[in-house]
Amino acid sequence: MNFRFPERKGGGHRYVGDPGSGRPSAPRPRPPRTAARAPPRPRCAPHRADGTDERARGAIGIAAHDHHRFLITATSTPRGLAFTGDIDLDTRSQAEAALSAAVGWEGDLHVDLTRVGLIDAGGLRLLADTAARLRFGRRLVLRVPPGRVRRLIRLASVDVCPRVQVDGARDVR
Amino acid sequence: MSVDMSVERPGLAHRCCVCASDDEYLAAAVPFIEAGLVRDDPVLAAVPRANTALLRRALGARAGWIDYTEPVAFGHRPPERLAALDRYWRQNAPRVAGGRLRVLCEPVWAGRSPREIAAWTYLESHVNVLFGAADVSVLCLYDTRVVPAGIVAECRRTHPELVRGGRVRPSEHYVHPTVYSTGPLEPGSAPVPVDPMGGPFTASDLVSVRDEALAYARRRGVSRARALDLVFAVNEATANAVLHGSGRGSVWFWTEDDELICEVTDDSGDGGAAIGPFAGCPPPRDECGRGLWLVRQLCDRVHIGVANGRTVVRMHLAIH
Repeated sequence: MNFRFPERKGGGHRYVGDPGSGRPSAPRPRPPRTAARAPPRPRCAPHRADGTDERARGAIGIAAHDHHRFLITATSTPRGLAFTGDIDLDTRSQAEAALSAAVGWEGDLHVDLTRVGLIDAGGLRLLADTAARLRFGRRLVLRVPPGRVRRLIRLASVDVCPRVQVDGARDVR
Repeated sequence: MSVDMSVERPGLAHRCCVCASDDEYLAAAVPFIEAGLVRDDPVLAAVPRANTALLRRALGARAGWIDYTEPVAFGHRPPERLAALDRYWRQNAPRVAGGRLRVLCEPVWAGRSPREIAAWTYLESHVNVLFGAADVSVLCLYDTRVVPAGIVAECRRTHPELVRGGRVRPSEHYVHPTVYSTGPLEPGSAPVPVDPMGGPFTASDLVSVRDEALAYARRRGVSRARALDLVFAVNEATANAVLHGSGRGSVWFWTEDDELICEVTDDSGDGGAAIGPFAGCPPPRDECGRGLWLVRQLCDRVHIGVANGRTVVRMHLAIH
C-alpha cells in the first residue's frame, strides 16, 4: 500500500481523494451544478381527486449530485412525496420547496423516506417544521423502514413532534 | 446543616446516596418514590433488574405506579442517556403545574473501561449544567458493595447534595462542572499526528468528504453501521464549517489505539454559537445546535473547542 498523505501544514490544497484507491490525489470531476439542477420550483404531478394519477410517481425535482442522485417524486396513493438520495446542504432547498408546496394539499401528507441514504440535521428540522405548518387535524406521516434514517428521526425527536406519525413505528414510542 | 428529603427548590435536584446495604438503599429510594407518588409526579426507576425486584417488594401494591427501565436501555452511552432523559421528560413532563419529573438512577460501573468510567463520571457532573433549569429530581444510588471506592469518591464531587438517613446536606466536595471538566479525569485530546489523511474543503466538497469518511472508516475496520454514523457526524461538522465559518475548513482522519478520530476545523472561532465543552450538549428545543447534539449522539466522544481562533470539532469512534 503506497499512500501519500497530504501534509497538514501545506494549506491551499483541496480536499484530497481516497489514498486507498491508488489514484493520484486530485479533486474529482463533478458535473456543472447549475446545468444539472432540476427546475428550481418543483411542480406536482397531475393528480385527480379520486386518487388515481396519470403518473403515479412523477419526478418533480432532480439534482445531479456527484454520483448520488437526488430525486423527489409525487406519490398518489397515499398522497405525498417520495425522496430518493441524500437530503443535505445541497439538496435541502429543493426538499423544502417540494414540502412547502405539499403543505397546502388535502389530507395527511405522506413522505416516503425509504430511499433516503442520509438526512442531515437541517433535513430533520425541515420535517418537524413541515409538520408544524400543516393545518389543524392533518398529520405528517413518515414512511421510514427501521434503519439509519429511522434512528436519526428518533434521535432528533422528530417522531415525538406534534402531528408527526412514523409509519410502522414499532420501535418508536 | 441538613434538610428533609422532601424539600426541593425549583430546578434540578441532583442528589446522591452512598449506601452499603439493601436497607440503606431502600431508605433513600422509597421516600424519593413516595414523594413523587403523593404529588402524582412521573417517576422512573432506572436501576438494575435485581434492585427493581427489591423496590417492587418494598413498594408493594404501589409498585405498578412508577416506570421501570434497565440502566442499559435508558441510554447505552452518556449522550444517549441525556437523550433518553430528555425524551422521558418530553413525554411525561409536568402532569400538574409545579410538578417534577423524578428519576431514580443507579449508574452501572461494572465492566466499564477507564475511558467509559471517565465519560459517565463527566455526565454526572455535566447534568448539573445541562438540566440545571429543568424541574427534575434525580437521585443517584452508589452501592459500595458493587461500586469501586474511587468512583464513590467522585460522586461527592459531581453531586451538589448528598442524601443520608432521609436527610439532605450539601456536598462539601462538590465541584462546579466548568471546573470539574479540567479535573483529574479529563479525557484530554492528543495532538494531531504528523501524517493524517484529509485536507481543506469547501462547500462543493461535502459529498466527497462523506465518501472519504465512509471509505476510510471501512478500511480501518469500523462496521458499516458505525461508519455511516461517522458519515453523518462528519457531514454535520463540515456543513457547520461551511455555514458558520468563511465557507471553508479542514478535515483530518487518523487512528489512535482503538479509536478512529476525525477532526474538523474552521475559522469561525467563537463568534457564532457558543463553542465550549457544552456546545451541542443540551437537548436542543430550538434550531441552534441540533446538528452538534446529533453528532454527540452518534460518536463515542466529541470534543468541541476553539484553538488559535479556529473552531475544532474532534470526533472519536471506537473501532471494535
